Amino acid sequence: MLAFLWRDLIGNRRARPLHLLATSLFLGVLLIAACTGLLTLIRDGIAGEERQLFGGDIELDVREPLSAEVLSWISTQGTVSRLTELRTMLGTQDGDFTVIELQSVDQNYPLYGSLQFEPPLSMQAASADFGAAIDPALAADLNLGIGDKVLVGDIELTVRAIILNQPDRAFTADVRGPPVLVSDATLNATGLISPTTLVDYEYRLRLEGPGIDHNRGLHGNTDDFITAWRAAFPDNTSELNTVEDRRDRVSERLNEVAAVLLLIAVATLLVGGLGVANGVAAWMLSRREDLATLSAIGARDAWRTKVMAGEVLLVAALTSALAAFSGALIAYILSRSLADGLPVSTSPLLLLRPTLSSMAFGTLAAFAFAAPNLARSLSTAPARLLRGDTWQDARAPLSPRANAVCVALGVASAIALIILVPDPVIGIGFVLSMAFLYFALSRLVGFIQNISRRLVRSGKIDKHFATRRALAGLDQPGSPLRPLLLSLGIASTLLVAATIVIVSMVRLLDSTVPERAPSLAFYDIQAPEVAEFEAIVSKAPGVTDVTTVPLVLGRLTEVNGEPLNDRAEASEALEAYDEHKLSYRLEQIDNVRATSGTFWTPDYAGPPLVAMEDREADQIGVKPGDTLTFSITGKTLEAELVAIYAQGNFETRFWFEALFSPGVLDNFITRYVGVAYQDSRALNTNPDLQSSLNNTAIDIAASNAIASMYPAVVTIRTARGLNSARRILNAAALAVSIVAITSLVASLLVLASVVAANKQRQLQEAAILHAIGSRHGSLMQALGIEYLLLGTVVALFATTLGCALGTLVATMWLELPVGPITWMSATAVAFGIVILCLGAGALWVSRAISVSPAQLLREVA
Amino acid sequence: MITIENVQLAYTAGDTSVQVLNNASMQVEAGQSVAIVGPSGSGKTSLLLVLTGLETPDSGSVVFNGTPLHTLSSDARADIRRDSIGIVFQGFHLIPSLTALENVALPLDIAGGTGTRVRAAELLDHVGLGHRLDHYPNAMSGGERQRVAIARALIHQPSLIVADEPTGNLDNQTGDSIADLLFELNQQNDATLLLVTHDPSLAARCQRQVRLHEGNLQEVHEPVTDSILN
Repeated sequence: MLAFLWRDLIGNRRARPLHLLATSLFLGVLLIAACTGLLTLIRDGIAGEERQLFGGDIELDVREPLSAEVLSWISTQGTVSRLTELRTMLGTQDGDFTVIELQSVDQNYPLYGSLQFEPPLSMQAASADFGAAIDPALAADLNLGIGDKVLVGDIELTVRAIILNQPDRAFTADVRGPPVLVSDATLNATGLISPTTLVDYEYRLRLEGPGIDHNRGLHGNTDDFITAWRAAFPDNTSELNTVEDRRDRVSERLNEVAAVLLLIAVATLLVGGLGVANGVAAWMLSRREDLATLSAIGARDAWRTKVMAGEVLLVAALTSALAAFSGALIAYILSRSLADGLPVSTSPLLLLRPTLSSMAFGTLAAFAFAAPNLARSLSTAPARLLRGDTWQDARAPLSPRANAVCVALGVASAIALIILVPDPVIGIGFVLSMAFLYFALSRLVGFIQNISRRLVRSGKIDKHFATRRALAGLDQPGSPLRPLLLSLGIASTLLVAATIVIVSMVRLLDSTVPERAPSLAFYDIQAPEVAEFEAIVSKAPGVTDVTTVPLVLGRLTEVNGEPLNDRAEASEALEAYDEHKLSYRLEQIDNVRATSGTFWTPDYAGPPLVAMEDREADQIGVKPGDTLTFSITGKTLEAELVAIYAQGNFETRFWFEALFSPGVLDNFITRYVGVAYQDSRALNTNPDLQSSLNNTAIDIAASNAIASMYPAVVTIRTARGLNSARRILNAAALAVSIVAITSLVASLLVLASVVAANKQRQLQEAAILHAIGSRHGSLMQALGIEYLLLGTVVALFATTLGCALGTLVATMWLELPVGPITWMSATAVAFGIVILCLGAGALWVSRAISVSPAQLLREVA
Repeated sequence: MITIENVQLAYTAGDTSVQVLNNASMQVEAGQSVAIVGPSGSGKTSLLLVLTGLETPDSGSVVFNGTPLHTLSSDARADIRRDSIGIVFQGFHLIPSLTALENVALPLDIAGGTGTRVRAAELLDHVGLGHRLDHYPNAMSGGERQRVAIARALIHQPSLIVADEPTGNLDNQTGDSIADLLFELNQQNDATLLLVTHDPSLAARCQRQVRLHEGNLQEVHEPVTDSILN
């Protein structure tokens, strides 16, 4: 049997249906293999360097240096390194200022990995005598080289080295500010550290002890450390993080991104699956005489089934293997290009497992799609095959056994999918969505066919033959409505959803944020200088409005007298170690509305009241009426929670987690935050200022002017953040677009197969209709109306579902504003795709119909 | 009724050209029944396509009820078929995705008629398929399909009925009943009947017999035998 199977397959290797099956399957498996492969490489890269990236096994994050007692205790657990970090401004001699992360490190830094400088100096040599090692991004931005002088705080630093490798360089460094490494002595000399300055002291610990050998990957147990720490210092609420916590957070974020890409890839496979089903149907149709002949010469049903199913399985397996290895190759090439900037593994061996699992999944899914048509054809009586029926009834019921096999294959594919997707919940959600989609589509198809049937039978369109034929075309068996909706409909839906997300991001970054956001934001304005600061900023180039509000940092320690860190729920207990941003509810804090409880009146002067941001309140599980105890700079503050509030996402200039009633925070205010709005038109009305400056130029000018006067105040240009966000967005949009367009290509393959299969029917019908008196124009009109109806249904389906899906993802997950312009763009995309695809299909068929009817009749005879 | 004169038709496949009709001429009067006979591959079906305006001859003329078909546009010829010609194809050429009822109603649908299904149902009942109205062609036997094809050819009461081997795919008994049906309906409608066949008994039932030989049409004046047909 195997010999026959192989010979038969080789003999039919040029058969078009097999090519359709293979190409439809290829793209989906390719994307799945590429996504899972890249995810594996990134995971391995992060896992291999997690301690370098984190900086140690454990990190204690505090606002002031640890006491000698605590430090001495920690030192008994392993090697300790302290990194002091301060966000501040760096100025060049040309007067350009930018935000940096000023970091001073000790001789143990880094605990894992190593620093590399250009020229190759030690940290000690680079930082001696007010020397600094700077990030290459900063050197490029400000055009700084070795030996250049820069201003930080009260002193002038000399650039001694460019950092080639800093193992714990944060992923957010490009947005928050590039690192500048100095010595502790230099940091103290800057004059930036005062009792009220916001300084991060990060104590990293590398656990040491019996059984620990870092070189052999045997690391200490962080849980044991935490237990010992809590026992030794039960009242210490310092923020404590472990490398495992970080791994979980990174893994969670990575899984979310991977799941989205992988689900688009699986959707592509699903779309391609229809091509597989069509390919198998066409393949079996072309083999009906062979099947009949095999039966006639004594082949048993089981033998025929094994041969035909074996051939399909073999084609699916070979295609999946080729696609999976191609996908692995793409993942490998991408990993090589990402390896410079990200911790990505480039070991090809790691790709073996995702490649094999993609291959297995592709083969299983393809066979699941092929099974119904395979079973339907193989269960057809040989006598019927010998009669040469050219038309198969796709609605013919399957035998109970065949049905059971098809259902089993479908369930197995669904389970394999759930295993394949990193987050099983997302996988189950996807399977349920697809089941719902299939059900909804079946109902929609039934609904449309019902309406078409009623219209045709009502007699209302008896005079309009073309319309009648087109509507009848939607209702008749073998109608392309269902496969078109499933293939082009799903692919267009994905593209519409992707368009919604991408357009809403672009609009947010290009118009909403620049229009509503302030052009400059200020952090760490010391309380005594706030009035003077406001006065000076308001005179800076183009500044039209300046607002400052107090910022107090504190921790929530108790709820109704019960310590938060005693909570059984770990996520609630961890909140006790989080630093919250606190302030007053002033007029300046816009778009704050109470969702539960009520705010105090502006003239309130009673006992302390507090309102809390909704997400924070949800996480902690508090409600109005609770008594909250905060710890601020070591002092206790108790207040009654009277309101829970929500803030507008991108319309809020300040973001605080709790707001207090007037006067409550007065004794704690040491610093302010602020924003400034600018307008180039303000410059144009002032003849003393350069009228030719645009917005970008004026915010740089203002930022430089302010930073030169207040070097300790962090001045951030919104435009800079937007540019960084745009770069990330462009990369994300490109990834989503490539995957979504590949899905569209898969759907086009299916579409081509549907149009090709339909073309035969349309040509046959056209020839007969012309023979019995239908005009050529009428036939073309009927064709046009049929494609127009199909196109409209598909486009409306894709628009509705795609807009709903995209809006859901944009608003609920990414929290982006979505408006009519976004929906209109997405609708245009849906109709554009459908017009192009179905227009090309209609043109193809109409050209075929244009040939002589006599020739057509001979061909279809 | 219909006249063809010196019709030439050749098919070209690659470098090879096959002369199918060679100076073929014939005249058929209204109400006549004519059998066109000849061996397989003699060009009978091609002649039928020319007579119904589905094929344009390379030269010569085809005149139907005084209208020269060979000079008309494709649409104008389609209009003539719609109004005046009914064709029964050898391979039936029913639309597989339409029911028997819908197939029969098609010519009236094309003409934009109303109540087409009622008339189609009546005719199907008349040809003995009243119980098969909603059945698809693939679920019907060859004889039943042929009867659907005949009903479709007659529903618009054409003045010319052209049937290509109407009994060719059928057993003797079914073939006879189909032939009876065809002649009965022909007489009821007072239409001209052109039959392409190589069944001597069917040819003998026609008023005239014309033989297609080497692309030429010759009147047969003796009884049709197998030697004439082959």
